[in-house]
Amino acid sequence: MNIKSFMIIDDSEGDQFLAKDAIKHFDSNIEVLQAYDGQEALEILRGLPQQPDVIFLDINMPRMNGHEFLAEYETWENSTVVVIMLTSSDQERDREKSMAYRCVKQYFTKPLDSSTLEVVTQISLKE
Amino acid sequence: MKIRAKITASLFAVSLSAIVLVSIVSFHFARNALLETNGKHLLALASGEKNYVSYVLQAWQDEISLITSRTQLRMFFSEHLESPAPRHIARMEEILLDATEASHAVKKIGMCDLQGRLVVMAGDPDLVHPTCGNFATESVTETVVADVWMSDAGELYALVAGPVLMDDEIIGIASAFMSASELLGITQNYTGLGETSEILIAERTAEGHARFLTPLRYDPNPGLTRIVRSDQVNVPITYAMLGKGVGLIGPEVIDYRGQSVLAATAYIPEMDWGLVVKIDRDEALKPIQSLLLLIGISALVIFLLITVIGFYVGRGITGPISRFISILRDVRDGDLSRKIHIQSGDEVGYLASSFNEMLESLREKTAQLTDSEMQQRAVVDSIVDGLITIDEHGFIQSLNNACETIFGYTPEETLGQNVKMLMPEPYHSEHDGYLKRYHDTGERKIIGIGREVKGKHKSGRIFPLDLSVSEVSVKDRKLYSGIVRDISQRKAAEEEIKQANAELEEFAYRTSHDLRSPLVSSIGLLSIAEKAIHADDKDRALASLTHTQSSLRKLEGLVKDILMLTRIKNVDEDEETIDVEAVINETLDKFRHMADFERLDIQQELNFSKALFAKKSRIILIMENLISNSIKYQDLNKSNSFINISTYREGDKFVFRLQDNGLGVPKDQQDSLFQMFKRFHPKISFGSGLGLYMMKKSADVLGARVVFEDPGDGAIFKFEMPIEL
Repeated sequence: MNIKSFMIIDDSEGDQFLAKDAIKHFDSNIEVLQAYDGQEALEILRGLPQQPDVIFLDINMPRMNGHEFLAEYETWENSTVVVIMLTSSDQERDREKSMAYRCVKQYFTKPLDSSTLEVVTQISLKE
Repeated sequence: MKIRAKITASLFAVSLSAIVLVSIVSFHFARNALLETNGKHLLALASGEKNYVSYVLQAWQDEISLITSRTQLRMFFSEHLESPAPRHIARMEEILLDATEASHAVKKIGMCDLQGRLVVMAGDPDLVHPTCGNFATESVTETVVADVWMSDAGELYALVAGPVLMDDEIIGIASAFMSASELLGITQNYTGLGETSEILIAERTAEGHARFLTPLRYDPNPGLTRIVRSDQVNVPITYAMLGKGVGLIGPEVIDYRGQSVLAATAYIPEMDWGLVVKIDRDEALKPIQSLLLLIGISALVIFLLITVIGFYVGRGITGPISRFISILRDVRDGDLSRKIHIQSGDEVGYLASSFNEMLESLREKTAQLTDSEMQQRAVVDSIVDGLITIDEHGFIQSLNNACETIFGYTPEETLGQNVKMLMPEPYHSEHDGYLKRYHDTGERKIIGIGREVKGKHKSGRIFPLDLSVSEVSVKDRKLYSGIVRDISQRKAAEEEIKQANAELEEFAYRTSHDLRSPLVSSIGLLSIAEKAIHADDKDRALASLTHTQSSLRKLEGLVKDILMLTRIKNVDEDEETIDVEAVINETLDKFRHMADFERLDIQQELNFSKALFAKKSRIILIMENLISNSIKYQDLNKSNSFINISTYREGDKFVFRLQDNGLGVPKDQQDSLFQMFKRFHPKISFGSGLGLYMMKKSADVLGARVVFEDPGDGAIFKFEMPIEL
């Protein structure tokens, strides 16, 4: 089974570029969706026929941050989605708060690289 | 009152006993004296009368002897006896007659021969002896008084018989009837004898009883028939008849009348008569009655005097004491200014002056105590913290002045009330329970420990208090003393610090994150650029580098803002005069180069003409932030984007108002508008999120505020600062 689509939710264009670049290099067939904050992400996700396989989620974003997004997104029917935290924050409290959500499977700090992607793929395939 | 009664009673008792003693003594003394005196008198009388009676008897005998010894009489008598002749009798009659006429006493005299035949008689022929008739029947050897008797007529006669002698031979017996009235003179003479006394003479009867010869004072008629039987031993006459010498008997002997008498008795042996001189005991002791009366009157007078004296003396003592007592009562009731004015030199006076001294000392001490108390009170009232004392049931005993400041109640409103009135719930309802629990268990929850609680001001405001309580034991009362300190300010300061700390922590977290993030991104992006260059992928390399640039620019902006922020809080700045219009124009100039500046319609309505006196850099920061935000967040979809800048005065405030029709602030974000690191529009990525936060801090420093209003389309920001008019 392959992973078909990722979503990157991050407000930094630079980080979006980085992440997309890493994913494309990993597997150029993977579809990459992008949102710049939680609210935008929800709008996009709502309209999708199928949820992405993996969501990379940043925490510090304007309008609706990562945790606020999770609070809403968890109420949706999306048991197969793997959410991976991808953030600059190395604070323990952020980690704890994030991992409390059922759909969050891992917590990584930026930047995203190929080894990370490998781990992520494995996690996703397990689900 | 009691003292007076005591004094009077004691005086009474003393005088009574004295009087009684004196009475008894003088009574006895007087009695004995009287009896003695009377006795002596009676004895003298008895003795005297006895002698006189003897004398009288002797006188009678002598008188008759004289007659019978007449020679002629005897010659004629003897001749007659030899040869009786009438001429002898006539001659003898002549002589006898002569004798009776010559004598006052002799009433009749007769002569008998030895055979008892009457020879001659002269005198009253009717005068006869009751039993002997004319003659003494017994022969005598010498002249003796044979008998004394009282005639029916009540006259006393004596029969004297004597021998007629011739040549020492008894040739006949003469019998003379004599008046014995001299004896009456003895017994009937009551002069000098008082009212009840009498002298009695009695002869012994043939049966041995005593028969009174003379009339009795109290029974004159049955003179010679009054007999006192010899078995009546307690009668004076019986005593007299005993034949003893002159003696005194009584005063308990009873006379023939049955009265108690004092009597002197004598015995006349010649006639075997008894003589009694007696006086009624009552008469003898009469002076005693007077004495008793006198004593009685004196006693009465003395008692009266004593009552009066006792009254006055008592009053003299109790009077000052009563005054003393009344002044003591005043002192007891709190009036220390009284003074006792008792000048008497006795113990009461001394007591009074000692008391006055004591009172003086008491006044001094009280004054000292009052001063000391006032001083203490002043100290307690001067302390800034509140000091409340309650009893073990929670009722307020005292509070110092600071309590009024802290709680807002006057002392009148709180004294005596339960201290829980100063507490809000739940303390209010639980306080009684706390007290009880401590009382029962001795468990210290707050006593000696100190605690932060809440207090309730009179206005209803609830505020934090620091409370420390200690226990005070005074005699058998338990009191609790609490020191209260209004720590509202301290709490507020603590809160500020906490807030500042929280802000700081948040800031530290966010900045570390926000500083790191672009750096990390840049590193990653440069590595991609490097790979791209190696792979000869120019587009990818350029894209990477562009993103790197923008990341680093973002970083630069953040660092700048952070530095600015620290400066706002810490750097002190003087106020200076600011030309508002100039500042606004300068700011607009500064931002002229910003993207999409030209398409904006900038409207200015600057109605505030005065200069502003404030800290310039802060003012500039606020204006720059507001203006740049409006430029940054314009709605590019609108064709008539505008910014309206106006300044004006509203009341005592300077207002800088900026309205735009840009992207505004989403409704759900409006509450957290001025918090740090808040960005509301994701695509417009440059901006640290600190702008509005910095503006708020600047406003705080200026004592001003920034307000957001949502006009529905766009945003309105108002900067309001109080100014001096």
